[in-house]
Amino acid sequence: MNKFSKKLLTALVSTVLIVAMLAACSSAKNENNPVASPAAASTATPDSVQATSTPMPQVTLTTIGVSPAGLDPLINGDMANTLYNKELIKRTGVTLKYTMTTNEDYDTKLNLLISSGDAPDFFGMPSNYPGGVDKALQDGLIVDLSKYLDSDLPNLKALLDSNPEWKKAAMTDSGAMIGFPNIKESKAANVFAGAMIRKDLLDKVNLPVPETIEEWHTALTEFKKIGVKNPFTALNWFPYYSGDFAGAFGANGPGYSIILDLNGKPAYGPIVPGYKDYLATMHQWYEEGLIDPDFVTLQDWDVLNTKMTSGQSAATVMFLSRILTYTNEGKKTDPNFEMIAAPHPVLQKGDTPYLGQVDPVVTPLIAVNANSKNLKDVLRYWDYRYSPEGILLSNFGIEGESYTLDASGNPQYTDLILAAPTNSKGWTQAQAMGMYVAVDGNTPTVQLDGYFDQSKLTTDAQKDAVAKWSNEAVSTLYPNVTFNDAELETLKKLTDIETYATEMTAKFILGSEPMDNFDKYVEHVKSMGIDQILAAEQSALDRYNSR
Amino acid sequence: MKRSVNEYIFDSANVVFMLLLTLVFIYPLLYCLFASLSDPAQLNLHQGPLYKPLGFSIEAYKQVLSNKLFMRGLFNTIFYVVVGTSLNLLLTALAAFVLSRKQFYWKKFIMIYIVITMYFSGGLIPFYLVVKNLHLINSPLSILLPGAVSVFNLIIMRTYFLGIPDSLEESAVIDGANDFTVLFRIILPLSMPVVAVMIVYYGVGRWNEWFNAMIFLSDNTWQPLQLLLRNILNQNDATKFLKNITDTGDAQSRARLIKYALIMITVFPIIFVYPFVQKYFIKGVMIGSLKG
Amino acid sequence: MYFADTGVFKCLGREQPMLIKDFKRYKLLYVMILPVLVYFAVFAYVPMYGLLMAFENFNVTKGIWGSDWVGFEHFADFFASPYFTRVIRNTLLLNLYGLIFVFPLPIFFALLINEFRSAILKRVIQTVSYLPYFISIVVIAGIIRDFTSQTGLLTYLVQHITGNYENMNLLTKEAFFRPVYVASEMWQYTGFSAIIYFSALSSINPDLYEASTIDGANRWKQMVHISIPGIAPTMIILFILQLGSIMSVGFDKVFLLQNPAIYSTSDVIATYIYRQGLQFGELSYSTAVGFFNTVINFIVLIIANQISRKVSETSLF
Repeated sequence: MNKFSKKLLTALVSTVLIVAMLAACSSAKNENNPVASPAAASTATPDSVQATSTPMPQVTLTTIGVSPAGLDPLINGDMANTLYNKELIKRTGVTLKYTMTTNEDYDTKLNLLISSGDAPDFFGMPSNYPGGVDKALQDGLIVDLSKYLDSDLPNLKALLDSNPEWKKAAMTDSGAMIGFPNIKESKAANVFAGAMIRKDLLDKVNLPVPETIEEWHTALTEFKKIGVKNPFTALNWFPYYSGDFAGAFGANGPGYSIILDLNGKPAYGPIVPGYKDYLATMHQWYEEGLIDPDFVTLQDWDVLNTKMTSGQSAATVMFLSRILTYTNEGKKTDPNFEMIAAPHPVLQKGDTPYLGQVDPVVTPLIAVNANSKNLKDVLRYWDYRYSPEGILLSNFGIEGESYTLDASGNPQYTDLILAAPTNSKGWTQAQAMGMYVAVDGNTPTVQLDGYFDQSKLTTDAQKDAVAKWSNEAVSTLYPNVTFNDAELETLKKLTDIETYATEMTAKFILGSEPMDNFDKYVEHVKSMGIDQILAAEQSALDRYNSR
Repeated sequence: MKRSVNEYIFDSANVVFMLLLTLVFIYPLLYCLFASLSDPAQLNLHQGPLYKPLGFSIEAYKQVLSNKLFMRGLFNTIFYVVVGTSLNLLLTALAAFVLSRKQFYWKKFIMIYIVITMYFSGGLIPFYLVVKNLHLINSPLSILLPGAVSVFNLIIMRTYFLGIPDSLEESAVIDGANDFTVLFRIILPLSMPVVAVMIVYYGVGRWNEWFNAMIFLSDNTWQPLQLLLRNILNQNDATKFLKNITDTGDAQSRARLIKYALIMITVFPIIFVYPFVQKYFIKGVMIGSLKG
Repeated sequence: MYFADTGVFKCLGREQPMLIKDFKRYKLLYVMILPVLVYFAVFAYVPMYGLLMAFENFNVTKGIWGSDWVGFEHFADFFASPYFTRVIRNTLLLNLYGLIFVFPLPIFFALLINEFRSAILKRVIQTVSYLPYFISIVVIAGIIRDFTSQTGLLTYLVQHITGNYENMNLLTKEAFFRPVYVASEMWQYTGFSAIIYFSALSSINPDLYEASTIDGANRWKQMVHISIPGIAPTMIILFILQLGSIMSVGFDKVFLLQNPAIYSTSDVIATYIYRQGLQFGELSYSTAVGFFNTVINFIVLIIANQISRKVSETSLF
């Protein structure tokens, strides 16, 4: 046998042996990792409302999670190691065992766990459950928490009773509660997208921050004159999602799809008469070179970043954080660089903007597995999170470490959070928040005004933006209706309609489709069944309103 | 052999043409290399092609390589590559050999049996359940076993074996060799080119794989490198955290750099190892290969 | 004496069924192929019951055995969709262009490189050529979007060639999507796919080349009469396999390069299904459409295989 064959044979034989060994090892070893040993604090007096004299039960609950950006090095890839989770062990006796994954894989992983019978004790709502999350309740996957409000969830019950609006938003059509809700105290917390424009350039051409479509046109034209190549740019979803611009004409793009119009009736934005004017205006701006031809393909935030900070563009529609980002980046090359928020555009000065962007104040976030063997403990654990101590922990962390109480008893973040990254541990602010503050990880509790004001709204530009963007006549928020099976069937047609509307919107703006064909386009949408869809929405809405 | 004028012209044109093509092929990798070494602020201002790094920064590499899980991920992946590729090669060679033997009665049926699996698949959930029922969840075997045979590669190997003259096998059989001997002492040594190709295809596949690890592993003990790298990228990518309203963009620009650094980290070891395998299927003009 | 064609083995007057005799004689072969048979049985055939999802309204809580049966409803929905013809046409066209432009390239590439006299040059160029394969599709798509933007290199070239200098982005024009897509496929996969042809070329007996030189053949004749026939079986098999994916176009690259303005040429089956699935988590629907695709693919494969068997000696089965 030549040398090579001998080597090959040896390699192959050793492979088989290794594989066999592994097989023997894994079947001998218990496939479930041993339960993490609970914290030693067994008789520490619990701070919760349910203070009892019996020692707290130590229990481990399973869940699935995603770690926030940059936190992995500090927690070794496991959310159970955050400081607030460790504190919660002391206060509730509950240790969490996470299946860690990423945002992208979350749905896949959760679906696999559910279908193989290994669903965790509680988990964040899957975003693509067929029929909606309400269906998950009907299917027996998750628990209707409203049944336990009186018996096991006193803190949550107290909160909801104190605010009827919150209570209504936390329940479905039929009065069931599908998950532990996240409640945001300040409405401003839910506003985070809108138009923004270069303040320094406006000053250069002596114009105020534009409020009407006319003013926008003037500003963009003037920008082009002073050398801004593509005055207005945006990510590719701009024409379809943004309330801006389309909203000025009393319409909305296919991304927001069906909203309630000024009369409270469901309407499909892309076919209302105002939409034609919106498209015509955008097309005209495009022809005049005011809109970036690249916007249709623009998917990368970095490329948008480059366009904005290099001065190639001067205005866009984006998220709140970008105002700060662009300003900071732009200042590195141009010290006068300054982004400022612009209010949602209107047609006539003084009008209230038609449409804004706002997120719901109350969002069900965490569902409880109906087959969980630890149901009582799950309920107890989450109820603690709604107690005053639990809320404080979730928003501000641990007293003495991440916050202190000032003279009037209000919590204030310490330098550990605010002075990052020069704080004592060398952490960035995101890391410090991630370790102490549960709310940053988007978990159910009440999100306090204080948290928001101190950590998120620190600059004037941001406060200004939130103020400007919090004003609208009609909300993009659709009430939390539940659809029955027949309605769901009809709604299936919506996806094709949206494909068509999105496609035609792009073509009208670019000019590949002449504006004269708008009526034909509306006819086509009608023939695809939009009227039946609106009827289905109406009937679901009627049911919702009558409860 | 002296070349005619025509041949000379052809050869020169060929070389020039190929060199140009090489530039086209190598450009994306060069772009990634330069971008990964660039200073994030300068990179952010830049649009279009890159001919060199803008500024200089190894921040991205530092961040990735200093990750505590990196070394473990690397070790795991090397394990999967070595053990996995060997397993792949063994099974594929065995099957390709049998299916290329004229005297094997079932070869047509088995070919159909195997090719069908390339087309019809039950999907992710039943696949997961099978692995779960075999008690392989969270075990490295869940990565080694389900990817053990690629039908495509099997077909390639079989095609190659079919091209080896029967006379060689027949004379060995006459000398008393059994089928194992024929495969390992006659066929495989003559098939170094295709074995090398299998090592490349399977090896690269093992090096790049992350999906099975993502669905079957519940902690990071046996996590391969690619999965770790993908997680790092996802976490730094603010577009996945649309509502992160205080993100000052540092994470985002870092994410961009990390994206490129990850590609370089993935490609570099392969470029390094590849020539050792390549010599088995790229020969000089006049060198015989059958006695390889 | 063994009579291969009679189906019966006669020895010492006793008849045994061929199967058992075949097994006894060739038992080593059976043993050798057993692991692979088991492998496919366990990991491919056992999970195949998942195809049932195509005929149900799959619900992840109820599982495959518990979900409601709806028969061919999903298929009917797909056929009745207003975009059915369009996405099928786009998918088929992209694959057809792939067969015409992308498939032959690795072959030419391998043949041309094979002509180099310097082994080092061969190896270097071959190594460089497969590198694009390793760049993630996200990055490649980003590079392509950059090249086709209003200031992009490709846009610049097109503007100068057509003389049309209007400010535009190539990917907003429907006509450009297919060429850009096909070109990017050529760019990314030529080098890696050529590896198979290199190995096939190395397996050609060098004596053939020597003998032909003695007969006075030049290099061109050698290529046509020795090299190409030598790699012909490989070419044919790969071609058959490629035909067998005629209804499948990869999701990632199309998704990253398309936008609504050019859906008419760029929306393929996979991207269309993805959008449908986003809204209602329609795993059943995508399974049904996927099943429909693979049935067509498989039929095409069988036909291609039969034709190949008649015309050449090479076939899959």
